[in-house]
Amino acid sequence: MKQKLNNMLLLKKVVLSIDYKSYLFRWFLTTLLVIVNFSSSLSQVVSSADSLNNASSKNIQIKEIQVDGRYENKNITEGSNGLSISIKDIKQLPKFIGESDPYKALQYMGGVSQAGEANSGLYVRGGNNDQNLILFNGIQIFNPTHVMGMFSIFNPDLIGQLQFYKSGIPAEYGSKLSSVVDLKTTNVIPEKITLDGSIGFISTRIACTIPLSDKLSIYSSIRGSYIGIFILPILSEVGVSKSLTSNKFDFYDINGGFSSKIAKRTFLNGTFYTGNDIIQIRDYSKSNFSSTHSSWSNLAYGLQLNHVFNENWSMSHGINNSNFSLNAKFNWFNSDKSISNHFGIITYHSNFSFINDNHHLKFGVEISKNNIYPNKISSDSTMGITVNSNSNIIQSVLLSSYIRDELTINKWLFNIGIRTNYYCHLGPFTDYQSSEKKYYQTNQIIKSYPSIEPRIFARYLVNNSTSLKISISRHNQFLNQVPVFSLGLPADIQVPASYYVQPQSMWQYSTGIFKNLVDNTYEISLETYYKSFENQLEFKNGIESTFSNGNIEKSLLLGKGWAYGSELKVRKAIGQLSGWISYNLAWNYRKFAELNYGNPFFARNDRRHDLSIILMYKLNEKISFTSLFVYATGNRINLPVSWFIVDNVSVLEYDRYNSSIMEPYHRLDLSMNYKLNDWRGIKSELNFSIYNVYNHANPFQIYLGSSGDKDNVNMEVKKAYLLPIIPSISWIFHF
Amino acid sequence: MKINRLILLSCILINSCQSEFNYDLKGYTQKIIVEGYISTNDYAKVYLSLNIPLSQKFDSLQMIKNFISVAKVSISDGVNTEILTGGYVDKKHYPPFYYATTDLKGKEGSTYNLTIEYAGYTLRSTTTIPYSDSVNYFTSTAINDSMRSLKMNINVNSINKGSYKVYTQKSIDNKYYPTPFLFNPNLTQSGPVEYVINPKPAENAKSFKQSNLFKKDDEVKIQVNKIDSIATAFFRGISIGSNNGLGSDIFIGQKDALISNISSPGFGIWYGRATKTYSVKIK
Repeated sequence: MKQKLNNMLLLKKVVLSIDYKSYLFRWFLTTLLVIVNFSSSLSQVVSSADSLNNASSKNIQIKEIQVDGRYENKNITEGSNGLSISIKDIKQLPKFIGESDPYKALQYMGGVSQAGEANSGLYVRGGNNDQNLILFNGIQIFNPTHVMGMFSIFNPDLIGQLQFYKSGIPAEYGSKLSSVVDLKTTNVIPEKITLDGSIGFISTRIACTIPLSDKLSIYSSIRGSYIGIFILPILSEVGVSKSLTSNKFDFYDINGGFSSKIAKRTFLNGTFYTGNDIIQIRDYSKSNFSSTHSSWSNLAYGLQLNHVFNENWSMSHGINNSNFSLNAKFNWFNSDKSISNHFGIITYHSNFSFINDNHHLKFGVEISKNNIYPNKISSDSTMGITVNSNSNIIQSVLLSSYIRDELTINKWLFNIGIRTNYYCHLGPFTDYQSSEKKYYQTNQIIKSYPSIEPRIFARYLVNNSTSLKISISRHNQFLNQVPVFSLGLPADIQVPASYYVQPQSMWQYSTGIFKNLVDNTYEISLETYYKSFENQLEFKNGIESTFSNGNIEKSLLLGKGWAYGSELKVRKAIGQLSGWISYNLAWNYRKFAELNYGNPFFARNDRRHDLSIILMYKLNEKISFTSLFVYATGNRINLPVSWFIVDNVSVLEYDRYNSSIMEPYHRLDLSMNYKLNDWRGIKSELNFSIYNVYNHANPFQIYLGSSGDKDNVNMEVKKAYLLPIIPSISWIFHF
Repeated sequence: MKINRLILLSCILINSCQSEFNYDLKGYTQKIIVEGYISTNDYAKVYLSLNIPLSQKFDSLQMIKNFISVAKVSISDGVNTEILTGGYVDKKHYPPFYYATTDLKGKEGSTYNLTIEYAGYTLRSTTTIPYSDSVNYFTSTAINDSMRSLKMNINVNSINKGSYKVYTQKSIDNKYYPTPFLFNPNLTQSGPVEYVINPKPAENAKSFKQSNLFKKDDEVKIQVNKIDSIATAFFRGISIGSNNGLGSDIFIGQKDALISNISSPGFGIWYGRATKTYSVKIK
């Protein structure tokens, strides 16, 4: 039976949420872990697989295995336009700054755009950064990166699996428009204590898993950086421009959790995460660091219960809480400004799964309670008044249910589902915009937004090396984060759907052809898509007007958008030289009645060209090299065309909205891995990395400034930079 | 000289490494920039200049080239028409040259038509001086032993809608300095409303160190200018534009197209000010 199901796994989508099938997948992952770890010269790996038949943990001693041979064709067969990165793939991702970061790797895998220098967001097929559903063991994470995007918040030592969808998103995922990033820890109970980590110039991390019994293990990890006190001063000493080295940023994060088998076929897992970032950008700071730095933090925790009834049926239940806090302070035009907000979401979800030879049926419900605390915005230029968005906590409830079936009919595979949402903005709430300041009682429904989301995906298997995929799907989004900064700070204004703000929605149509060559050694895919957005949000007159009128909803505009493009990816999956080339050609438009005289304009993240090249070369068993090159058209920006002075104030005359383009973004990173000999049971390697090898100054900011003396003044467009060349050495260990 | 410093100030810079940006001037068209006003019981003033392409080097010579000192400017109140006299110099203003009436003075509630003829173009505009509102009282609050913040309580007329441009002159200053924001910019307030008077003196002002506060026992002049809704929209627009002041500043968001009441190819504002001046002893 196990063999039969494993074969099915190779033919069907291999990554699912926790259910009957995922336990088999976990077993599969664990086996892979053994192989990959072994191939990394780890002489002894302990595997503890939670198999359906309650098999006890196994010790697998393997002296030497060469991982080669035929690569599976899951990119051809899988039932989604997604991307599945297993622990095996994660280990094979390029290591930079001592980490193989699966989340970061998404930015280079086609259909995803980096927003530019110092912007950590994922911009998927014309969508905005807040339109990605990022799940960590089923818990929604609101800000997934550290240090302006250099690191993700996910400790790579803990990640067992990543699933990424950019189209054909199954009905079990909802509440966001553009993509799903679903990360899971391995949840494997090892037989002995394991310790993994990395010590480097920029950051250090350590992760530990401790089996307390054969049914319970706990894990914990901690990671911290010291860029501001170590690497930047060194770079400054060796002559790198102070404009690049005077910025400060550091972070830490802590993970914890447990995996337990509480009954024969019942499993309980717990997850805890907290992390904090602190940043000061010299250009936006006074000399006093404490008064003009910004910080933000995530706190997330949850429990998940999984039960397998029999070979066909399983279920999972989860409850979790995720919070995000921001406290941004900066100095702008000699004016101190601050933005702070806090929001949290409590979610319960229940999923049931049925699987047989031709069907994989899933259905479930999800209920989430959201608390969005007022965005506190203050500016001393507005007479020191602190203004809150309506001074209300926006409380809302989202009730969702779904059902979908993945069925196989000869060469066809369909994933057809439907998701329903019922979103309510609840009291207490005071409507400050109404003349009588109407008050709503606690739990009174102020406004509701029901919606239905059909999801249709089809795959036609031409042969074992070729497939065609097509999908049509509808999505709604109720919690919006409207960016305030054009740089990568997560200083977003939280704007949930409410009495005044309608939810965002989107239709997506996507199709693609997937072809493998030479026994699946080479993967080629060409995908195209079209998206139409509704109720997109923009700030009218910029956030500055919000500083003065104190009512965010009044400063927001709602409009439409559409995006389309094609994505070409060529990957060499195995061999001494491996890697991939990904190229996106895309267009991204918005149309607002109140902007650009009602004419369509390019979205800020409109990127015509986006190229990523990743090459990995394994010189021998000890030494391997990795290179990453990215090139992308610059962001769209507003730039003025002329200036004049009225009332002793310099005034800028702007051209059409977003009609200018920043210069292209490009960067080369190099990395070398050197495996050290074992020492007293410790397996380790050295990672040498250079971020931004040719120290290209990618501007994160374009602004107007002047130069000259008091008699000769030039107004000109200038650029500001953040990240210089950053070399690093890390020692990565495991025992 | 001070004008240039003002330019520097108004374009406050953030130091960073910089290089030439290959900037495309495709959207630039030349405009005649008009700043004109007529105040209660005072003569009209009109300043004329040209807008400056962003890439153009702007030195002393270029600055002079951008002044318009040979236009024909006339103002009519419907009964009388006066051709303004040019050649006046106001060193505290950019552009420093202005045209002024020598006979016609402003009256609350009266309408004034502006005509400018220059380089074959004729620009026109009309404005009305709004009726002024009364200040009920000023109050000061102690920040420390010697410094005070100042508030103004004004009776905002909800029918005759307008906003207030407020200027302050402390005893050590030799000119008025504007408060950076309009009072009642959205024209939504009515009745007695309290505003904090938050002056932002220029760096070269003698009162710069006092910042937005007032010295105890100082004798301060407060000039309150009520302007109509069109002028409010214009100054609100340039206030936002100037404070963000940037093409791609750190804040994301659309800048509204600036409102102008000058006919093409002109741009700017011709407005009436209902001006009242108060002398306040800071307690």
